[in-house]
Amino acid sequence: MNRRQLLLIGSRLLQVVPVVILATVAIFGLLQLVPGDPAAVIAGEYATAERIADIRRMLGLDRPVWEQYVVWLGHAVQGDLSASLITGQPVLDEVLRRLPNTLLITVLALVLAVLIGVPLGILAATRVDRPTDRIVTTIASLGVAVPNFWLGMILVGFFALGLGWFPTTGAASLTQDPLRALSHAALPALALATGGIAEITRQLRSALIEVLSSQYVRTLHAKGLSNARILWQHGLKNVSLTLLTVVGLVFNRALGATVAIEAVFAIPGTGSLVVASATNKDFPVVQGVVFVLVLIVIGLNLMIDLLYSLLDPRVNRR
Amino acid sequence: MTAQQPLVATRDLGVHFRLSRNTVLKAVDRVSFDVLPGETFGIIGESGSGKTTLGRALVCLEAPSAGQVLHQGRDPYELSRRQLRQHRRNYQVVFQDPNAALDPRMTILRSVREPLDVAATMPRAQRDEVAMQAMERVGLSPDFAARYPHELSGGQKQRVCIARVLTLRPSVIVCDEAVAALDVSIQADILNLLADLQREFGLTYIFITHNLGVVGHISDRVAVMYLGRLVEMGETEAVLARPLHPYTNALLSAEPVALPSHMRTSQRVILSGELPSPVSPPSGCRFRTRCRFAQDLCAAKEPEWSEVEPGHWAACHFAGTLPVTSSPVHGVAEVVA
Amino acid sequence: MDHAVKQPLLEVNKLSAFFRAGRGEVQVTRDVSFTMAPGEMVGLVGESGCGKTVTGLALMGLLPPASSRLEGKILLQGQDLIAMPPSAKRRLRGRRISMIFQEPMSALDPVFTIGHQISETLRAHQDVSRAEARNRAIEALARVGIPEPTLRYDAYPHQLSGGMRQRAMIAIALVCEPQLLIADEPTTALDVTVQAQIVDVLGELCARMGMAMLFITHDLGLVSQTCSRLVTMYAGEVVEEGRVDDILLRPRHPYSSGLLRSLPALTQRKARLPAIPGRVPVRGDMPPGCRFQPRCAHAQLPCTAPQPLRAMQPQGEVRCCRAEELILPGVLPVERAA
Repeated sequence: MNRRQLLLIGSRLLQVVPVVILATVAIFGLLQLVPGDPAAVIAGEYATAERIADIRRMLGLDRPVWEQYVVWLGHAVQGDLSASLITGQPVLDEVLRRLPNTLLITVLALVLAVLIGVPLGILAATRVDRPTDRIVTTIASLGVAVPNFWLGMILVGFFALGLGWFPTTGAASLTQDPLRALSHAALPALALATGGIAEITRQLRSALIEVLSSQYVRTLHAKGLSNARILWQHGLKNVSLTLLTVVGLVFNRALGATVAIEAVFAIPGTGSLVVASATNKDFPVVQGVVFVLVLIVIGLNLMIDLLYSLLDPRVNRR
Repeated sequence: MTAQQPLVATRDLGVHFRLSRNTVLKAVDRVSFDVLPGETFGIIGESGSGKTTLGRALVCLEAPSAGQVLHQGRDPYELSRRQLRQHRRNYQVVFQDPNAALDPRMTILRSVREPLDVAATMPRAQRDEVAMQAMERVGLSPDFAARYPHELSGGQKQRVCIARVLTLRPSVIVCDEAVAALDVSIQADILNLLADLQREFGLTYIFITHNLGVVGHISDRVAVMYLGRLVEMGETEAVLARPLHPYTNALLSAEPVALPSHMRTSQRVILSGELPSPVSPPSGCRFRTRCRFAQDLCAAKEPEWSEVEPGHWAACHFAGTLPVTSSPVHGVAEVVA
Repeated sequence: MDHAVKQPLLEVNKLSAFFRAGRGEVQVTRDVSFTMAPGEMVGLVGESGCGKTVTGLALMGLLPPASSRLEGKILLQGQDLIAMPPSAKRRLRGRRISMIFQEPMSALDPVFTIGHQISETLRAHQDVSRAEARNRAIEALARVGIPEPTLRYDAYPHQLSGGMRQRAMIAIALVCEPQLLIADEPTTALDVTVQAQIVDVLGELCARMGMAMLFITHDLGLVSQTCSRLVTMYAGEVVEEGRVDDILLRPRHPYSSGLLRSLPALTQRKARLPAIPGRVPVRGDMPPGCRFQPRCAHAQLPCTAPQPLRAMQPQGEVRCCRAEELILPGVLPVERAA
C-alpha cells in the first residue's frame, strides 16, 4: 500500500462523516413524518392524556427535534444506540444479535450472483448475437423484472413445501450449526440473488463486448496472443472495474431487499426488525438499524474504492 | 504596410487557465501581433502550443487574462454586452471537425441559416434567400438544402460550415485546422474555395494549422508558436527561406515533402526530447531544452521578441547568427517554379 | 524488375475483401495484388475509404471472421495465409508479421504496464523465462529510443506522451524481430516533429533488422521519405504500383497524378491548387469500368470497360488503358520532369 492509497483512505474516511450525518438526519426527519405517537403506543389504548404527556417527557420526545437528534447522535458515535421504547433493551445488542442472519443471506446472495452472473456474462459476450447470447440476455431481462419476494414465495412453494429439500422459514446460527444455517439461508439468498445475477450478467456482457472490440484488443490479436489469454487476462482485468461497481450495487440492493425477504421467510434479521419496530413506532430501533446498515454500506464502498486503485493504474493519477 | 489600421491585433495577450490551487496554465503568454485587412495570417504550432486558445481569444470566445485583443484598434470588451454580441458576428470561426459543428438533426439549409436566425435581423424569407446564396457561393447546389449532414461527404460538410459563417458577412474568419481532417484532393478544393471567397469578399483569414504545406501555400505572413509564446513571425517567404528561430527550422525540416530522393536538398533536423509541460515551462528560452544550439545564456535569460530583419521577428538570443537551413517546402517551391 | 529476382517475402494476389452488410455482402477491396521483397519498404497510399487499412488488416488476418470474407491469395514466403488454419496464423502474428496502428493511446491496454505488454508478446511466441523476457523487453524499449527503459518498463500507457506510446507500440511489434511490419498511419495522430522522430526510428530499425515494411498512409511526403516502392489504391483497387522516385516524377495513372498535384507544398504560393473534381464513389455503388473514370480529365470511351492492372515497361503496373499515351504531371510540371 503506497502513500497515495493511504491518502485516499484518509480522504474517504473524512467523507464518511457528512454521509453518516446526512443519512441519519434523513431517517430522523422521515420518522417525524410517520403518523402516530410512540408515547401513545407505549401508554396503551386507554391511557389518559396526562399519562401520555408524562411518557413523552420521560422519553425526551417533548424536546425540539434537532435537540433529540443531537442527543441521539452524541450517544450513537459512542456506541450507544439508546434503548427500545417497547422492550427497554439496548438497541445495539438487538441489532448485533440479528445482524448475522441478515448478513448471511446477503453475502450468500452476493456470492451466488457473482458465481452465476460472471460466467453467464462471459458466455454471452463471447457469443454475441448467437443463440446462446440471445437466451442468456432474455433470461437476464426477466431476472431484473421479477420481484424477489414473489420469487421467494415460489421458491418456498416448490423447493420447501413441494420437494422438502429446504426448511420453509426461520434461521439458524452459522457458528453453532453451519449446515443447518446454510440450508435455512439457501432459498432466501437465491431469491435475493436473482436480480443481482441478472444485473451482473447484463453489465458484464456489455462491458466485455466493448473491451473485446476495442483497439487494444485488436493489438493483442496482432501480437499473436490466443483468444483465451486475451479474454481471461486482458478482458477480465479491464472489466473488473465494472464488475466491482456492479457487485457493490448488488450488495446494497440486496441488503435493502432483506426487508421483504425476511418477512417472506420469517427470518429474525435486521430487515424484519425494522419492519416490526416501524409498525410499533419504536423509533430508536429503526434509527439504530439504519445507522448500522449505513455504516456497513459505506465501509463496503470504501473497500471498493480501494480495490479500484489497485486494479486500475489510472485511478491513482491524482 | 504599417500605415494600415490592423483589423485584429493583440498586445501582450495572455490566456491563463487555473488548473488547481497553485498551478496556472498559461496557454497563451504575452503574444503581440497585427493582422492587416485582407491578409491571410498563418499561425503554426504543434499540439500544446496554445494556437487554438489564441484563435479563440482573437474572436472573443476566450477572454484575455492579461493584455488585450484589439479589433480595428478597439478593445471589444469595452463594448456593452449587446454590442459585443453584434460585434462578434464580424469575427467568425471554422473548426476542424465539421461533424461536431453540424447538428445531425438539422437540414443543411437550417444549419446554414442558423446564425441568421440567432441574429434575427431579417424576415424569414430573406434569411432563407441569404442562406441559399451562401450555399451556392460555396458550391453546394440547391438540392442540398433539404438534406442532412450524414448524407454529405467530409468536404461537403466543411463547405456547409463555411457557407454558414458567410451568411453573417464577417470581415475576419479564423480557420482552426479547417482542412486538417480532409483528404488531400478535397483539401485542395477547400483551399481554392477559401482563396476565391477572400478575393470576392475581401476577407481576412487567420489560418491556424500544424500543416506547413497548407500554411505556406495560403498565408501572406506566418507566426510560429511554441509553448504559448510566439517564437517567430514574418512574411511567409522569408520565414520559409530563412527561418531565424531554431524551432521554426526544426519544424520546417520535419515536414515530409513529396520529392524524389535525388531532389531533396536540405538536411533534416530531428528534435530530441519531448515537449515540456506547458504548466511549468523551462526557464529563459522555452525551447532551450530541445535546442541544439542552446547555451548557458538561454537558461538564464528570456530572449527578447525583436525585429531581426524588417518585418521579420524572432525570440532567440542568437537569431540571425545560427546556421539554420531553409525549409524543404521552400526548396520545392523554387524547384517547381 | 530488381525486386523480382529474389524470392518475394510477400505476394498478394488478387486479394478481395467482402464485408457482410444486412443479408448481403459489400465488396471493400477488389483484386489487390502486389509483392514485397525481403527488407523492402513499400508505401500503400490512398485517401480515406480506399481500402488500404482493410488490406493491412487482411494481411494480418485481423478482419473479424464472422462478418468478413477474403478471396485470393496472401503468400508469405510461399505459404498461403488465407488457407492457413487460424491457430497457425495466430502463431505468425507478432512473430513473423507485426502491425502498428494510428492511435497509440487506444492501441495499448490501459491496465497493464508497457513492459508487460512487450514481454507477453515474447512469451507468446518463444520459450523464454520471465527474467529473460523482461531483459529483452527493456532492450526493445531502449532500441526504440525510450529513455530510462528500465524505469519505463513499469510505466502504464497513460503515463507516457503520444510519441513515447507509439515508440512502445513499435517495441511491442518488433520484439520478436518479424520479417514484415505493417504500419497503418503510425504518425498521423502525432505532431510533425514527433512524426519525424518516429519515422526516423522505424527506418533505422528496419534497416538494422533487415525487416520489410508496408507503410500505409495518406501522406505522399512521408512515403517519399521512407519507401522505395509505392502502391496507390483508389476505391478498393490498386491503380498504380512502381518505384517512388519514378511515380513522383512521372505518375502513369491520372489519379496518382491528381494526388501529387493537389499537395499545396508543390504549387506556387497562392496559386490555384489542381484539385480532383467530384468525389470518391461509395462501396456497393461503383461505376462500371474504370472506377476513376467519372472524375478523370482524360477519360475516353474505352475507359467505361473494366481495367486490368497491367505491367509497364521498364517496370511498374498501372490500371489505366491510356497509360502509354498519357504524359501526366507529377511533383514537377511535365516539361521539367523530362
